[in-house]
Amino acid sequence: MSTALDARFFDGRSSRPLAARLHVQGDALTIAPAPGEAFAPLTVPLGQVRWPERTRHGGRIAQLPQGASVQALDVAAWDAWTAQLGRRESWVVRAQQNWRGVAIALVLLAAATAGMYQWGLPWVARGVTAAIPVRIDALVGAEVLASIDQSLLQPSALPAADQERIRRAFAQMVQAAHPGDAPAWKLEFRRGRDKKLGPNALALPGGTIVLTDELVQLMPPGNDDAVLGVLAHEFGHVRLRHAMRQLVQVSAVGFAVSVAFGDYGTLIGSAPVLLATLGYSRDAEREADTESVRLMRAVGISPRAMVAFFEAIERWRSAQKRAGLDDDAIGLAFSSHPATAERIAFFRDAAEN
Amino acid sequence: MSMDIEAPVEAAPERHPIEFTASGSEYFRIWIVNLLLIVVTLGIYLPWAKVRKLKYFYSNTWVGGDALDFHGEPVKMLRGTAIAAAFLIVYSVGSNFSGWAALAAALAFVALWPALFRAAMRFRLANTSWRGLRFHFAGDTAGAYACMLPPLALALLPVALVGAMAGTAGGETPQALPPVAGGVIGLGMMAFVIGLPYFLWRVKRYQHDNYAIGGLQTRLKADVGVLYGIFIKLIGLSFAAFLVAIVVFGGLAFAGRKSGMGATFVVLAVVLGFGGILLFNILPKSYLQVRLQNLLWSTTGNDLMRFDSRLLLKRYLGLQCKNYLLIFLTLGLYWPFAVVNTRRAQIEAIELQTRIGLDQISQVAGREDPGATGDMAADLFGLDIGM
Repeated sequence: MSTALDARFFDGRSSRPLAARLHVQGDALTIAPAPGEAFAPLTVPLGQVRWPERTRHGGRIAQLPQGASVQALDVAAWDAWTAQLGRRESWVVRAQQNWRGVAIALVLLAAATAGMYQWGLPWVARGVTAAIPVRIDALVGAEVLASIDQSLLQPSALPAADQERIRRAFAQMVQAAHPGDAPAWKLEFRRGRDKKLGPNALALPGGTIVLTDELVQLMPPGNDDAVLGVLAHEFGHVRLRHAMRQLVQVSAVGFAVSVAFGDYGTLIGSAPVLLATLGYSRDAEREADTESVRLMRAVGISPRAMVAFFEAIERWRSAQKRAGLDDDAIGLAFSSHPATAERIAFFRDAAEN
Repeated sequence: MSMDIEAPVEAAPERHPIEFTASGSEYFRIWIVNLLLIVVTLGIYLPWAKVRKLKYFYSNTWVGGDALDFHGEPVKMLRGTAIAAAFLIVYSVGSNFSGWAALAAALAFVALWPALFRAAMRFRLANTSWRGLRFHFAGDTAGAYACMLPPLALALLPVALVGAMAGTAGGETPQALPPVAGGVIGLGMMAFVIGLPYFLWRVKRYQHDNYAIGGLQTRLKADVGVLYGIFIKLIGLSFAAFLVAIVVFGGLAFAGRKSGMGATFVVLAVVLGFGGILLFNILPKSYLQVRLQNLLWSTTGNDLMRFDSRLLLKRYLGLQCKNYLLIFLTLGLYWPFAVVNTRRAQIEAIELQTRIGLDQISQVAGREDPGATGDMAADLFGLDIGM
């Protein structure tokens, strides 16, 4: 049927090239000796030939069964000859071989990456987090606490009676909102080593909530409503396992970056560091705020307490700025998420309804 | 078998250049499409991407006028990818949770890595062909463990062991390491650093002693003393770079205090940052790569065929500076171009010299079909098997 193509034939046993002539008849490729060459002609079903893909640079080698192969003498002639065999190229090759295809791929890649980051990643993180036993959260949490105890925190100076009062009120609140189905939690009182941490609270994986003395002292003494509101917010992070979800997400992003650039060594980093440098997403904060309102309502505290608290913390923050101090020591900490107008409005609305 | 062809040793060898004809722009296109498909398929496409990339690089590597070819089949490699990925996930997740889990992960890594490394070499060579003949990796498992177990154990185990013990003993009040533990880590590290050139030489000898095509197997004749010389010079180079950095930064800090900050400060910071990367990353890395390649490939071969590598440090260093700068300026898009031009510089510096006709090599053993797990694991862990 077709015209013949001159090529080099290797039998797979010797490095000696044999001058060959290829032609296709029906569904079979025949490799016959060129004039002056002597070897037994070989006929191979077309389906068993592993054809090379078309590239702008590089040789063409078709792999035949039993290790034999034919190699192009002239790449352009080879491409023209295989094209008239009517073999369709895969769309991957066609995309790779023209700039329009690559431009489309680049746009799709950007879109797919953005989509993954926006929806795929949280979805995967939720699923993976659900699959991780809660015991592991506690292990990670203990490690994070040990590390920040060494670097950022010192023992609380709050009178034991005050600690006990807050702990009891919070337990009551959790019990009222989640009778019987509350996750394990533990309240730890600490004091910041320097002025940076300030009035703060953070939820660690495994249910440990750290509360600083400065936060308890921020509001007028005797009224724990705002403190309980903040604790309820942290309890929301605990109940929804936000810290663990964040950890899974960060690891997944690291993995994806390494796949693209072929450097996977950086993946094996340490979890506490990653966790400490990244904050929660806005969605996670919103979910925790909703939980906070639910807990406050369960014991009859008005969400308005949180509005007053946010105002107080904003005053503290501007005082910090005037003193030239930054307050973003830990991303997970309560105070590093600015009290946006949106969040204040959320608690104000909750108080009115 | 063609080994019995007696070549007159005195005759000048035939020289065969090695050419690399890949282009950065074409690899860019392959890379982008590969990345898209990896993202869209959530990683399942990885073996297909790898085969496309390797086939492209191999079909552009011409040894004595004939291109290499890669024979790995993506579907078969998928299983190896899954095993390697599971291993990686268990390892990286496991080592994060507790001291003992990290120790177990480190132990598993040390115990498995030499076998995986050998499997990777076997897979890569068995699936590489030239002139219709498959390459072959002749190294055995015992050899892999003998050369890799000591450095791996020295580097990983003391740290993991002490980490595990500190994690449990510390309990309530985590405190500084006991002096014994510090001593163990210190001694392990010192032995590792002093032995590094020797360990590297052992691993490279294991690799270069076991490359084979047809009946021809290579041997590495490099002397470990030369390797120590390279490392000592590298230390000297790093020290000189350190001194230069101190003088430059100190001088600028002094000048900066006088003049205050301005727009020039930003420009200066960028230039200094790049200078720092050049001094402490590009320069030592390039030096080591160039010297190692020239040493190892110029001493690899046998009576009938051998290699000669003449990679020039000055040109290679210039190329790497250009690559880093352009990768930075294009936010990573220049990466495939950098890969191609680095590969070209490395490959085209090597020449094949034979005292046997290129037509006279023949396959002796039956074909083998080793699994892809090791090769995919090497990829996923970011360890270069040096192919």
